[in-house]
Amino acid sequence: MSRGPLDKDVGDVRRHFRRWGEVWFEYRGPPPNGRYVLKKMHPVEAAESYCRGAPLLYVVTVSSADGVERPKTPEELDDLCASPGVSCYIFGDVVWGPEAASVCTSYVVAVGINSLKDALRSLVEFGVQIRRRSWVEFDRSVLELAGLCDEAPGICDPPPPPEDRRDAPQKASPTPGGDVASSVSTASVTGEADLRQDGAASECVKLVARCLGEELASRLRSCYA
Amino acid sequence: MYACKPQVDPAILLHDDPRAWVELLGWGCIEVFTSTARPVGVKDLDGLVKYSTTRPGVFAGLLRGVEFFGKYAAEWGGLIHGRIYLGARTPFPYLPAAAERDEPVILASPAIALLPPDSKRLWQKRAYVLLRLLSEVPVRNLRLHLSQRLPEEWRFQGLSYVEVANARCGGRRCVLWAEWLYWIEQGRMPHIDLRLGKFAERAERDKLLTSLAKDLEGYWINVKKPAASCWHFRRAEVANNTGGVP
Repeated sequence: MSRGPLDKDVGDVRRHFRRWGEVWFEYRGPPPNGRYVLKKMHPVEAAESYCRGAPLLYVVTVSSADGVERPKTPEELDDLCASPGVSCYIFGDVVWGPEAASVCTSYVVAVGINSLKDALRSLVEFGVQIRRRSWVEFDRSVLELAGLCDEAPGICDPPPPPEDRRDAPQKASPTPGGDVASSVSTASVTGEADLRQDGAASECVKLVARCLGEELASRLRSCYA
Repeated sequence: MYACKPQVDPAILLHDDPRAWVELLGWGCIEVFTSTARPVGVKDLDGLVKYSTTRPGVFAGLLRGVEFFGKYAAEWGGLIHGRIYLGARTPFPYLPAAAERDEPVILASPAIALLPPDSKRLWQKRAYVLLRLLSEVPVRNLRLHLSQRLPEEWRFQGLSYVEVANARCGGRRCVLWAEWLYWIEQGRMPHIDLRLGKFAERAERDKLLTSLAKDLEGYWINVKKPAASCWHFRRAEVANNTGGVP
């Protein structure tokens, strides 16, 4: 027996998306074709245990620069998502397909949000705040399109180049035969940075010294330098 | 409305030269691309070129829904589904090897940047040396990040691009690395520059390539036409990368 979705969940969805746009309609059935905002989703094999008791819940946001006419039925929504210039993004825990359809039922909430940026922001916010998903689970091109890369640069931009770590100990270690010009230039660029300032590395060395012995720790230090 | 007939392969999306876009894509395609990218704040050609060259993977994802026609339709259609020809597209002539290095060993042209930003697995397989510099595939400003972090010995200072292409990187010709180097230094794709007669010569030997370009007029039409299926891609790529290596 398939019960309806938990009232609390659907209530959360309605309440959240009413702030961003217009909740068009809800229906029982498969979600339309669109792009999923999550990168890491539950595997289809796990769908059965996941959807036990309640249908899988999907949220579809439809946005278009030109504005679209509000669809009335799931078929109209399908056509709308297939038409060019309209972007449909889906939040769901499992990729809907024939395999998932054989074991689960689905419940879809369609939301119209005019701006693409707002649509993606609303989905990401829903995932993070209500579904407790982590930032890194979202597709990174979605984060970029939502303009969230500027707010969370660690996800979209690679960490700063590792030169700071590699060059500074060379400067610190007394090597009179070393290239003076290069050491001066790196010193001016990187400033004071060594093992003591690199918190994670010093923690690691301390841990090694405690657990594996002082000898290994000193080898690690010399390797770092 | 959303149909386009490009006269060039998708690597133009990495080519930072609006004139080449006008010449090879045409205003029809540019208008289609601008309207698909309007939700992200693109208004004109300059904005389009800037967005596309700084965030190629994101931009390629926006092209879903556009229908492509013509000679290059298969390749553009593949791009929308996350496939792209990763072999070298510039016909660097053969010369005796001028230098031998162990690194960088790279198995993909800059076109790999057109794939969605989450294709890290492919980067690990094809462009491991670059991923090691970056530690993460950047969503935007790949060229900026690379130009900041490139080791000095990988730049092959003093050699022309043709000589770089014929140097040995881990035993192979560095043709793909020559393409990367040209893209990082100039911001444009070498094969498109060559086709338009705008190839930026680095040293004397590059004149060889520009003088050959005229003879290669038919090359663009007859030889470079990878099909949209993965198997064909791989076959073309193998033939292109290793065929004829002395």
